[in-house]
Amino acid sequence: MSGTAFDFQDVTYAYRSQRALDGVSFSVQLGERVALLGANGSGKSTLLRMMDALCFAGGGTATALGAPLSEKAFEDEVANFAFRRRVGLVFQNPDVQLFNPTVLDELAFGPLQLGWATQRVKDAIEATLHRFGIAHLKDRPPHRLSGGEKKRVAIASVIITEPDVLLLDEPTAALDPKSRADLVAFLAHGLGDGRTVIAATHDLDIIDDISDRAIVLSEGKVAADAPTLDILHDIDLLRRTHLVFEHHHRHGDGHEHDHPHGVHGHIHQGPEG
Amino acid sequence: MHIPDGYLSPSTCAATFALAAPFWYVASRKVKRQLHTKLVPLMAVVSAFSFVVMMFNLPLPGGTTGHAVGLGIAAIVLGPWAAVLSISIALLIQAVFFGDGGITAIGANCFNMAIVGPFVAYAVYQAIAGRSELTSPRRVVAAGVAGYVGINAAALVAAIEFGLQPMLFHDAMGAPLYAPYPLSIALPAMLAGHLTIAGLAEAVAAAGLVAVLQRTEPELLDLTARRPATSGRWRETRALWFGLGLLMLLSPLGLVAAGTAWGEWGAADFADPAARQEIAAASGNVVPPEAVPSGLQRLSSVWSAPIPDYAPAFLRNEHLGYILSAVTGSGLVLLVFAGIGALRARRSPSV
Amino acid sequence: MNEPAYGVCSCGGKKRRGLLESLVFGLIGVESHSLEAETTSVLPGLLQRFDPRIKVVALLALIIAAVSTQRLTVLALMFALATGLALLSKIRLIRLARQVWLGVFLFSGIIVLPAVFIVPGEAITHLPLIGWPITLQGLRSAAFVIGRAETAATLSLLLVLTTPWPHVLKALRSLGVPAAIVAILGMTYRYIFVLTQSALQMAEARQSRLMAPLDGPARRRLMLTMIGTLLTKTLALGTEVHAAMVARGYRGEVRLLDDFRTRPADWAFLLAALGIAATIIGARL
Repeated sequence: MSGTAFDFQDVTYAYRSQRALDGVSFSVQLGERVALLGANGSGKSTLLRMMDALCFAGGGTATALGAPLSEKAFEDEVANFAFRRRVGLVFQNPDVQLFNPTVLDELAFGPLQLGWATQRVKDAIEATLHRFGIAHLKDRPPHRLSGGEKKRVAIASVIITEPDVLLLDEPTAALDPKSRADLVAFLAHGLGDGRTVIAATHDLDIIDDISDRAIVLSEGKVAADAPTLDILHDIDLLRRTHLVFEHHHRHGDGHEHDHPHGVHGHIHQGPEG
Repeated sequence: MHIPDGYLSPSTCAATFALAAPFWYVASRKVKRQLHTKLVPLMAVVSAFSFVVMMFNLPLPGGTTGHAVGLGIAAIVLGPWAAVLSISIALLIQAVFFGDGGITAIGANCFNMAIVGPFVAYAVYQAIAGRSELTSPRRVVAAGVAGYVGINAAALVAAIEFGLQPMLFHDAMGAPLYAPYPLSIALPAMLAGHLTIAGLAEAVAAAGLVAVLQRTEPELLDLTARRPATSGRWRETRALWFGLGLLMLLSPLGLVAAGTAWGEWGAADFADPAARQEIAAASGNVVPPEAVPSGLQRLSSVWSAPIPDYAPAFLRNEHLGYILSAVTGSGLVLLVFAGIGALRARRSPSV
Repeated sequence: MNEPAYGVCSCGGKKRRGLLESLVFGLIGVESHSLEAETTSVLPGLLQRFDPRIKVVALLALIIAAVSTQRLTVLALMFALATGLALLSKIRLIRLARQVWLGVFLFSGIIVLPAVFIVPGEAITHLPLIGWPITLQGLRSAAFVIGRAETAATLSLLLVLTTPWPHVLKALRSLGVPAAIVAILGMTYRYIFVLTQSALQMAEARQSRLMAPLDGPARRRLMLTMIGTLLTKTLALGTEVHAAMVARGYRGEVRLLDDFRTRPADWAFLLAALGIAATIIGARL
């Protein structure tokens, strides 16, 4: 699949007279896997919502899948459904994402809203339950799920309509290490080829696995846009954008040193020992 | 004040459902227009909040604690119509899932606590708060009084519903089939509890919460502020209010037409010290008044006056007077409110 | 009683606990009640087997019949019927006694006790020493109120204990309740648990920081600030949930999936329940 998924030019957005986005420009091609990096308050959540047409740019131009992302364009039901069918967003807070009484209803919500026929909805539910290994949870209410299960259901509830573009807001937030590893493995290998994945995160440990390109946001602006590995090695950039911090610690052999923290396993600089 | 099953007769339950239904209908339409697609999620979370907030026991001045229904604060933050919906939903879930309040009494409970209470609270809040600043202390006072008056209005209506039961429904031996206390006991007993503890809890909750919101998120008070009580929306609901007022005026006639006989109730019970002690025990150790409230007695004589002597004996019964005066009184109050609303709407240019 | 009784307003009977403790207790009560309902609703019992729509209609008819009857013997039979249904649905009597019977009896008993003395009528005996008359009519009226409250509460608890809440909602939907209302009910139930968790965390956080007893006004402020925080969270949650719905194609119209199949046994149960109710109401029993 080729073509442009998103094209943002000089986009601004203000919320309660505070600038959340201040002249953001980038574009994403279909099939790319992109990490949106940034500390809390950097504007990455706002940007993600804008990409899902949940809020609209105050200035500049933004298009998704070749069509403008504007409030006016989304008043049109056909355009709205066409967009919703192709773009899905997984919210950070599973209590927000999972609003239905049971897992089954959660999976059915999207397809039903998009007007699928009953039998097609049922088939899709069946397939998705098995694909995500959540068939045993289907009658459970969300408040009886563990954090990892909630996340899995949340992603399943979005993937069920097979969107071309998957947006994820802090996918690994509040997950235990095992669930986090499972999720990363799924995002890296389980999504199938050709799907555009854009994940907003400040979890540097996972981006190498789930993205090829990283866009770093800082104070509402794009601070860097480069291949993920390059970004991960640019310690100065990461430090400047508050994604890593200086960490002082002591090793068992009695020696102690400082190093930037934020990436799993530490990036140790200088001679060891 | 959640009325359980078995306290109200099926016909009373049906009547309160019928009274509540038009409010639900109008509320859902108005709230839908106001919130558009946000209706479903917002009503859901606010109903959940109403549910949870009823579990907060508040320490009251004087050392006791009580929990608020939240009808005052709901009306103040969301406006009366959204309050109707969210409190009704909370009450429905309480009744069906948690067994607080009866299934058959859902209509009555909603009418009292989700309709009468919030509307009275809202009117009082607007009347006192006026066009004061969002952070004005006047709004705190207004909210407190609104909560207090609102919950008492709800209790008054509940007491009337209770009090009607023994007069209308008896078995063959004359034993009351439902709530056994006549108006002369139900009214003071309910109001004694609500004029004190429950009223205070509601006042503390509403005033305190408005004070908290003034400090933290004054914009939440903005939705219902700066709008005179009913103007602007008056036209849309005028028919509803006049209809309800008229219905209440007419309902005593309906009762009379039904011609139900009831047993003799001694108002003397009220003066009997032993009985009074028991009532007091039942109503949280609040002593009922020494005699049948004189205002009621006077009102009831107003009603017996126009009833001709050749009417059947039961029409001259003093309790009929209570029913008639209580129901008519509420109807009159509604009509007066409706009239004031109409006048204000005419004076101020439509918003 | 170590949990809030079903059928009784949770405001009474815990004067001895601190405010935060009683709040935590109440919040945990919501959680445990729903957990019990989820456990019993999958037991292989009689009522669990019926179609939820049938069950809603049938139990509602029985409740109305219990509220309508004018004879104590019929009421007693209805109560026995409710108890029998509970037993056949593998719901233990001790649970009913603990969750409904005791609580309703205490609550309604206190309310109707004075009626025994002050409902006018034929005095059957007098209290020793103080000599208050106990009237037959008073006793009967107290029995009516308590009997009805117990029977209706038992029947409504049976619905909740034998039917998963989502199925109750879907039953309402197929009985003609508008989809928007069913959706709101489902989401309200869902967010009751989210907000309960929030409130629980707030209460426990404050519990752990309270070093000395607070005076009245300070305690009041403490509770009110918690409610205020909860309200703010609630409204923010509403906005977020709305966004999550819109993101999945929601445009204001709710669509629900429902597929229930009725079997002959369902209809037999419905006919029996409606028959009982119609006989009681129709013949003014």
